[in-house]
Amino acid sequence: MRMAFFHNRQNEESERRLLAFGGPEAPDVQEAQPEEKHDGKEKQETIDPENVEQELQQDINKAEKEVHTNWKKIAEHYKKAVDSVRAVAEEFPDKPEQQELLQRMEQTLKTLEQRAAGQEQPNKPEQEQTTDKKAEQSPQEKAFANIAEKLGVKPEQLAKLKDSVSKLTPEDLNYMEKLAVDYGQQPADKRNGWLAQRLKTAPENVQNLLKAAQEIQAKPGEKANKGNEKKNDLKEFMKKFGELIEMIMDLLAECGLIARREKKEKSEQQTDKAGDDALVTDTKTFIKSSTENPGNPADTKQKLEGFDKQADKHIADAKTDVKEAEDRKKQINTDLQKAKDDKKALDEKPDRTEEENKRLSDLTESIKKLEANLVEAEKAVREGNTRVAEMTKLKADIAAAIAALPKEAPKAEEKPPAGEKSPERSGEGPPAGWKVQGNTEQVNTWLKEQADIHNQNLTTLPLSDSMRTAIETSGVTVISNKKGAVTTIQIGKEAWDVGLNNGDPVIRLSSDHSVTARIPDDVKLNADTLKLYAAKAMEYRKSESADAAGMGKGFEPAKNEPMGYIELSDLSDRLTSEIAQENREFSKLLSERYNLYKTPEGTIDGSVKNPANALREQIGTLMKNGIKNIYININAHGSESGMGFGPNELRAEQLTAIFKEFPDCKFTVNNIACHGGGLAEEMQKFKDTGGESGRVTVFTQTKEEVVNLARSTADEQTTSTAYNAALAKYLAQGVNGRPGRRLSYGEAHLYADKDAKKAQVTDAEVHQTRGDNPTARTANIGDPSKFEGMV
Amino acid sequence: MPASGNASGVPNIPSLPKDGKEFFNAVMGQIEKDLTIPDVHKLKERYANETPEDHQKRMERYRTAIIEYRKRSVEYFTVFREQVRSFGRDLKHSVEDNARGFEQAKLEHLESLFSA
Repeated sequence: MRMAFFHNRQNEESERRLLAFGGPEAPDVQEAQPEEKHDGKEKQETIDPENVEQELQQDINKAEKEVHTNWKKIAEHYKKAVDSVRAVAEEFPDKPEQQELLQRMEQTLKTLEQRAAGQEQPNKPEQEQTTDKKAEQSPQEKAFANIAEKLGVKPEQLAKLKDSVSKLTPEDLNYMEKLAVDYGQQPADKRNGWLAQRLKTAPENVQNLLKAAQEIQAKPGEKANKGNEKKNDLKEFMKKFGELIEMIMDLLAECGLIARREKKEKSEQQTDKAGDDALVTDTKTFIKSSTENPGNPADTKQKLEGFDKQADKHIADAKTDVKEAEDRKKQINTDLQKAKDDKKALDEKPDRTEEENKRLSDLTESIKKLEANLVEAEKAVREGNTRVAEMTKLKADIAAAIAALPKEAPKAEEKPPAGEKSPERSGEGPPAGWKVQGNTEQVNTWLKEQADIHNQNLTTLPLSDSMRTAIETSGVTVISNKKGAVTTIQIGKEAWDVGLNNGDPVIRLSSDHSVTARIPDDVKLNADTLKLYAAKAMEYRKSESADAAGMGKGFEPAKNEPMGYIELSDLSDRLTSEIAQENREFSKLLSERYNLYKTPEGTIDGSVKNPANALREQIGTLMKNGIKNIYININAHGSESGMGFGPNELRAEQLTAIFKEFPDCKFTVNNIACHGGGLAEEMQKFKDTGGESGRVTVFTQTKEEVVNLARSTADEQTTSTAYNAALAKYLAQGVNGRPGRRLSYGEAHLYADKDAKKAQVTDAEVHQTRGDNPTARTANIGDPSKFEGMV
Repeated sequence: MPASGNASGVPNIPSLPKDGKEFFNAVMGQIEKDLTIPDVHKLKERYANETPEDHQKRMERYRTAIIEYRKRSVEYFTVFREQVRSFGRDLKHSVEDNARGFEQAKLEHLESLFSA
């Protein structure tokens, strides 16, 4: 089952977000269909009364869309009727009743079109509209008002232009768009001649439109279409055609007749991209030169911070571009769906009129055009996201470079870590610049934020009425089963709380909420199932105590030897990017415990590079520099078979293949991906090729069947998983704070696993290779198909 | 012919809400006034001092109200769509009848010329 995602704010409870493939998703707010059921559990899962304004906004938006669509359809029907009545009126000009009917209907149509455009006061005379009332105007009216302002004419002088626009057919629009593009591609000195030729053969409506535009350009009172003046005006007009055609195309876009033109935006995007590239090149060149020839650290830092600020600005720009492209995409999708629906209705109609056949052909053309526009918009979204990812990665590189700066002017050679052979730059040891520096103040600040996340307890909501009834009649001893409160039952001697979390029933030992199990939504609540899942919750807890992988026996990823740190993240995704950002501090925390090194390319954006190849490359680089122990931090969405990085994937078996490719290397992997990114199942199959016991240790934060959730601090500035937050706390502080007992990494994991359950129903586990023997798995209850249940 | 219409035979335009907000307020107003657009922003202030029990009860009431609203809105939307479809159909027939009337008159006029 894929859990519904929703923003669940239980008073101070912070945001949780899903780490399954596809990323965080809002509840499906697709147009409601009549056959939808509203009494089922599904609806209950997606309603969050604590976040009522956001919930209702979806409903209001849906209602707006629905009502608007209906008004648009009414206006369309009416426009067709007016066209028919007009045709009759033209055929029978001597019939005053038909002229009157036409007049009335045209007036009504105007009202309907304004209503369909969402205008508040549809009957307001146009003359009364002034520039300062633009905010009240429909987009079309605004566009006309803008063009009037630019041309220095009164809005009422645009009547002919409006009329010309209203008559444009899809073919005319195609012609216009092509004309605009082709015009721009002509040599400047030949444009006018070229245009004059093209206009001779242009469709009548296009000629009329351009004539109307030409007349507007003429000074008030000046007749533009008489004798020699006409030629002069046309010449003048053609000179201004470039500017005019731009305005007309913008106008048509505002009227919704064509997709908004992207020519200018594209060129802006190209400029932005070039700007990004230049910033990346400048920054990397500077980092490289300052690593090879270190100068004054303070100056270097200042320069790097300057690059960092620039990267922030580029990110903000790129995010704006993405937002705009997404808005465009949404609008195109709406238009496309409508065009398809209309086409389908016409396709299915057995005896179509000539007019309907024409409409059908128009719709087919529109659909093609819209689909092409959609591809463009999607491309723009992708490109924008890539820019965000590249800039985020650049920021990471800058942060790493700043962190690597010595507090004093560096010496030629770093002193070797205690007990280690002196690392040489010539391939025998890692460069000094790679050393990750722990910054106690920064780490402490970060730890406070992590503690905020760590201290958030899992909140369960009351069960639905039907679930309460099911429990009431199940035969178990009910301690409390009040409406609006979590239910408490007795199984054996223990009291158990049963409530809802993210829409699924959850059973938890009342006296210790870390003993918990999620009950799948398709399991009926009865005495047997309640007892079964209570037993499973106990089993999970016991199995963790068994600790087959020996985490509680002092597991450490490294001792004094240098350990390489690789961060493999999906920086194309906002959520995993945020978590990756937090991990910058995590690496500093690790550096307080271990002799940690990270290359300047140690943050891999798997959405830009092939994750497996990039990982290989990084491992190779670290090994060449004498580092054979590597910690890999994976921040990605996940499925039951792999980890997702935007368009790329790292399958679980690809990762284990890499472990085999580097038999001399020791690996520790921390993976936040939902479903463990498939690593649990893969690690069960994985047998090391004779390596030493414990060569590979893989931590997953959830089971195969379970999604992971991200949580944020109250101010939403910091995002982490409950496990990562707890792990950070225990690694940094041990128990009883920093002065208290220091924990091994393995012990910290066990505490984090236990604590994470208090915050969310996930269950971390660890797999550790045992040479030629099967991999050991902490919390393995002996039945690989049901280990730790949660199924 | 349309079931209802004005003197010229053009069917009446369906009575739909002006916009989504009007619709939402009209429907939600019948279910849970707290959740109408003017009121929903005042909830924090209005219930600042409520007990956790009352809060739970209120949340449950809202949940039920939202479910009910969604159910009703789907029904209304279906009716709206049907009204619009039916309006389009009636309007089409209406203008066809209108045109046919003139064509008929024209034919009769032509026939009268031949028979004269």
